[in-house]
Amino acid sequence: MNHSLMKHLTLLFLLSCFLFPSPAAAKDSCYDCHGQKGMKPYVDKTAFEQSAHGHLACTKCHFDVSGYPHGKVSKVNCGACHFIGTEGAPKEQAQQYKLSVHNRVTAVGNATLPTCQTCHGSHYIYPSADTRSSTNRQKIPALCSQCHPQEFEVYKNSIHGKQLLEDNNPAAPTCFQCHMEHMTPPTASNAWQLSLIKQCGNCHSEELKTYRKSYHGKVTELGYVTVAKCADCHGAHDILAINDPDSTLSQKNILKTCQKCHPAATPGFTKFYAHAEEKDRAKYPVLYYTFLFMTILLLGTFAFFFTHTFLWAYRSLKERMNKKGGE
Amino acid sequence: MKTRYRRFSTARIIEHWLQLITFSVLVVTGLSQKFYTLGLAQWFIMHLGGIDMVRLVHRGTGILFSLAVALHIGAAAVGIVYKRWQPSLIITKDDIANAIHNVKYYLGSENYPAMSGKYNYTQKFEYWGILTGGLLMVATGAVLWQPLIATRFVTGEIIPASKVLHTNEALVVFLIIAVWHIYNAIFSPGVFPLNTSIFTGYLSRERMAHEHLLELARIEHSTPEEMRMLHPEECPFEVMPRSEGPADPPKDP
Repeated sequence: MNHSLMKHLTLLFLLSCFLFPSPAAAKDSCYDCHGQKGMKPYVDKTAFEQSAHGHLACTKCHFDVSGYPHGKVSKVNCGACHFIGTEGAPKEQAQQYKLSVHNRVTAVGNATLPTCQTCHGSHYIYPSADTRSSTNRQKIPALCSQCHPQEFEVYKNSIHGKQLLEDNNPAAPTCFQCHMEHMTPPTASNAWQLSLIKQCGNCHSEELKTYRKSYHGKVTELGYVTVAKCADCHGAHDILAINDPDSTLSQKNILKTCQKCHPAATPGFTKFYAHAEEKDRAKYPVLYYTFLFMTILLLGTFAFFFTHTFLWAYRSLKERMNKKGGE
Repeated sequence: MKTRYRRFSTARIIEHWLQLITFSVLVVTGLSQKFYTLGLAQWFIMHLGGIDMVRLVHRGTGILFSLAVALHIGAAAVGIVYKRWQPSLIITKDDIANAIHNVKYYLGSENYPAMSGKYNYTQKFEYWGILTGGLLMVATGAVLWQPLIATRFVTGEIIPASKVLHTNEALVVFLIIAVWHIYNAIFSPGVFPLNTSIFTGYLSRERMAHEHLLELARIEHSTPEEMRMLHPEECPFEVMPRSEGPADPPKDP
């Protein structure tokens, strides 16, 4: 191989490295500029490489960048991978978002509404269990408060908000549990309002069971919305413990709460138990003894009438067989 | 000698039809609400036009049922007080004795069933079970329909308590009808395939002799002993000493 050919091949290799760089090499070349503090956008190499997308080349998302210098970079479209599930990218969330109220309103041209990046950030996306993640459960209320500050103010003083933000209770619901994170259906949606009942029941299962025994619980189970659901009595963002004097169900507020749906409600009406449990003698003695009496009556009636009918039928058949035998 | 006797007046026949229809509608629309999680109940509710329609039908029928009960009690009260009807459905000591006697008969320690008057003890138990149950259903149904009015006078505990009473009493009455009345009136070998007397108003003399011998004796101005002596094949009874003889001829209520 002569010297001239060697020179040409080396030149070709260097050129190809620039034109068709390997992902790692290309990313390094991006860091040359964007890894410099003060550069906009600045990308912290270590933090990025520990993120969920750290293994990807920059051009995987910024696909309109083909070299240096580059022009204006268009907004990243997460759906390019996540909507169709390219290379194992989880797609359910993007598909849910597509149907969410956030996306539906964005689609009609309101650019202030959240996109993926609004919640997840751009370069530093971590699994939500990671405390660095912007969607880590402790950070969710503050995240949503960027657009919903009033709701956050109310929520943070609620029993759920305090449990989450002050006591770090892992069972306390964040905004996501009720508003269904990526799905975020419109709050006026009947289906969503009804599904919330089951959502509350995920933690408050006993209360759900007793609610389902009540008229309210039965008709909501059958798909009717215009009766009391959990939030109608207990409050939503402002929910407080029942023994809190400011609770919607405290002695001073309960009548007002009932009157929201039943304007003619009297103080006597508030003694109605929405979560009555007839087997709980300590809490509902009147109900317990009523149920006990009815159960005895039911079983007694059945035992007496059934036994009598059975014996009667037995004797009748015997008589008939005797007659046949005699003929 | 007549081959059949009038057992029920036209008013009683109409009343039975009214009770039959309203009771059936109330059972179907009520139990589908009680057992609303069952597929069949949900199918029924949806096909009737939804829960609002089921409740409307249940309540409308409840009003008819209540009126029928009120009319029945009113007519009985007026009949007994002013027209001197004999209250033929009152449970007496004889009915208890007859019940015990019949249980012995069913078990084989008596040779004949007990004799009875116009109504036997099974019919009386059933009547009072349904009447008292019906009154409870009317009262608790009214509370459940208008809880706001009810709680102006009594504590709100009445609402869940009424629900427990209403739904469980519904089952009690339903059981009485399903196990007792249906057997008595349809499947009992003596009447199978159907005791038609409440629809036609008449009962054959032969069935009267078998099922209501005391009543037949009263109508024919005889005594059970005499009837058994004259027509032993018609009267499969041992004539038992009774605490009271046949009453004066009662008018049909």
